Amino acid sequence: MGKTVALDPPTLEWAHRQFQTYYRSTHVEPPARFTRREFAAFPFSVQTLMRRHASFRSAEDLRGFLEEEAPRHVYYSSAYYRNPSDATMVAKEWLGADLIFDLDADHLRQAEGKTYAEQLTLARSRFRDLVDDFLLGDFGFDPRDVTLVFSGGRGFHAHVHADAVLTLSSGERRELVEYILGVGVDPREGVREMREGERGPGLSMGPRSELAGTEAGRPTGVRQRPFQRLAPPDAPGWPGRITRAFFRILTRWEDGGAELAAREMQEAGAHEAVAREWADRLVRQGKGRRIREGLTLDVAAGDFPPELLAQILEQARIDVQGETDAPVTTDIHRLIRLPGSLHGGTGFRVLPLAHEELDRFEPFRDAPVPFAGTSPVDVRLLTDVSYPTFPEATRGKEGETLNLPRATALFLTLRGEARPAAAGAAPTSSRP
Amino acid sequence: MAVRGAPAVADRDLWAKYPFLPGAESLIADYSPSLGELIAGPAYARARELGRIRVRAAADDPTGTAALTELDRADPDERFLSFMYARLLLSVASTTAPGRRWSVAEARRAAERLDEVTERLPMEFTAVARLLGFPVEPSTGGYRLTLADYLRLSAGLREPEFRLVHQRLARGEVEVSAGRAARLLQEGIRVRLSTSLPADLAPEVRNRLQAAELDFLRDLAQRVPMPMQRRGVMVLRAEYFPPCIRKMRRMLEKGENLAHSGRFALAAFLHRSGADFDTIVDAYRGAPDFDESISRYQVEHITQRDGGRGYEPPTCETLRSQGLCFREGDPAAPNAVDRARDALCFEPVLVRPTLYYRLRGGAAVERPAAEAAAGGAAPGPTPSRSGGPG
Repeated sequence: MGKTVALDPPTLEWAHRQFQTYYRSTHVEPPARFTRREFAAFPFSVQTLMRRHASFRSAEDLRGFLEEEAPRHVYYSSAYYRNPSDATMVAKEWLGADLIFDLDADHLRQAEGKTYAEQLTLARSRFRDLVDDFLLGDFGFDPRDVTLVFSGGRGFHAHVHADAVLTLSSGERRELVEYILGVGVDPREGVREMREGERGPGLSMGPRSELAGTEAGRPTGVRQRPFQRLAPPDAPGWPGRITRAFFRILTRWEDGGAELAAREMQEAGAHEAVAREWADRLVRQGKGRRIREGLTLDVAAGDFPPELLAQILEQARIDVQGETDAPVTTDIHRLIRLPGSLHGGTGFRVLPLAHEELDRFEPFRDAPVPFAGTSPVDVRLLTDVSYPTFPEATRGKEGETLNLPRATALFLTLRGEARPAAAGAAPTSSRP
Repeated sequence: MAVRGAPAVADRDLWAKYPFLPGAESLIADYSPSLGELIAGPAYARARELGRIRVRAAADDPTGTAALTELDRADPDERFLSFMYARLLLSVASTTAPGRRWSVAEARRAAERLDEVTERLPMEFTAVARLLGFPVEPSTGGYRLTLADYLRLSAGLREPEFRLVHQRLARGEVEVSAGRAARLLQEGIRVRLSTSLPADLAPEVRNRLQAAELDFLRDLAQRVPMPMQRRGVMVLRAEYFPPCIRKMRRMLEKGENLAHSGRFALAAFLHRSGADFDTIVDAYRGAPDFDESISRYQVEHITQRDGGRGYEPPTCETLRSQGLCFREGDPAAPNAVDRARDALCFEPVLVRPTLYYRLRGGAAVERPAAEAAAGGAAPGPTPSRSGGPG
């Protein structure tokens, strides 16, 4: 959920009018089973309170509401209820919930220090992996049961509405999240199948039961030296995924050279000498190729640096935890942005995307409202801005006045980076 | 009798062998003229007796490990009817604990058979799975089932090897070994049994049953079931419990009032020795002021603390000061063992009840060594309302 910047009333009023123009000229497609869903809306006006526990009997009712109110943010429940407009969960009577995956650039580790546009590109690529590798791949969901949505902010949502998943409990959904996150996967052991009655892998990324490792959890077999053999890349589950991730890293290093390999290993925390030695082995001495061909790690004396193994896991897992305190997927009462509505922090459309559109999707080109037939708008910049990714590259210094396409003006206004001339002079209180 | 199609006959065969399967109740008509006959007819006295044995054995030993020789000797008809009678009995029982325990025990019993057929009679195994609503398919490595079914069946299992992240998952299907398939189905049977209680009975059937089994039902309601181990954690050995804990349990069983300090000690001890949450709550059912929701709340408080480690059980010294130490023996106890002085309790190293349990050979969760060495003070019991462990 993007941050909502506090704006002065004339500016809000101007932004509200743009939202109204959008909602009056568009047909928002209601989500499946929408009469059983709860809707919630944040208005522009500070006087009006958030509206919750609303439900709509028809698509016309919903559209009428959107045209009338043109709210700043619109959400609907991933859950559907017998009585969606009742105020308490008990009275609502939960019937089921879509399975939602939220991939937000804010929570991607690699996103730190990147611009908004770069973060979105990263999020798009990880989202693509999430959809292809996990949702349509291992989980086997039918593409027709998966709706992909650009959130209008920093991320992407996947809504799965296959019948088989609707009644999954929160705990059952957590298993799916932990599968994607690779919780409990140790690449050092990932290549071996767990034997009957064997305890979980030694290196756990998640909280471990305080009681694990007694009676039932004792290893039964004699341990071979772990991580000597790789599973075939097409092996089911995590063993195959680790091999694939490892191969991707090897390919990148072989293409990029030993220097790149050594640098990346060092960045991952390996000691310089160790990193150099292994980069040399894997790239220059062709051990990488032997690993790939023989599916074996018995290519050199000495153990693999643990940092390299951690890198493989990082490559293979996907951060879908969402906001750490309120994991989206496991919350079966979650409110989620309504596809087709506008994001109140950017003015971008919350845009459903076809699977094949994902790679071609450019948020700054495709998500702004077209506002067909409207004239450009003068805005005064409140700060230095640089958005080269807008189709009309947008740059300027604080205090400058730019004549911009309406959607770009709306974007800067909602982010608190510009003030539309049409909103009049800035009120005294907000002047620097 | 009308001619039936082959699939129907196959289902009927399975119903007799696996009486928990949906639809199996319809077989009662084949064995007994009416429900009334089953409840009161002299011809069915043996089936009723076996039914009571099934319920009582499950209440005493829900892990289902104790062999029921009477049941093994019974003919298939009697076995089937005794299962149905047990289900009737539990449908009119006044508490839910016996039903929960019976579900675990019967699922375990069924799984023993299923475990055999996974390899030998895969057709039978897949048919049972299908009737339970969790279709599986034999595969080279065992059995395959859908991801959603796998999640539903494994959700209640604590063993790390059942976590999805460790499964052979591809294209929406999980492949598991035959042994794990049987374990998963056992869980499906347990859930199916516990959700099928109470059976929907006509009021006159209910009344007749309650009247006919008055004594048995009263005994069942007062019986304080032995705690069960948490799944996949460790084996709970009640015979290794220290004298103080055994005494506390006897008091609650007899409906005597156990002081709050004792209730706290019992819950904390049972949790550390690996008892299942629900069965810890059950331990208080005999208390004169028992209230299910208050007890659950309090046991939850005691067991959930510290990331699930729970409160530290009180030391022997604390228990002695509260008059809850019975190392000298309990003269009122029915068993000689409980009346006798317990030498182990007098060993100088023995400072807390969990240690006694461990020394006797039970597995208990103790404080981490470092913390214990630092002498970290155990948090004391919290003030409580009445009706449960304090």
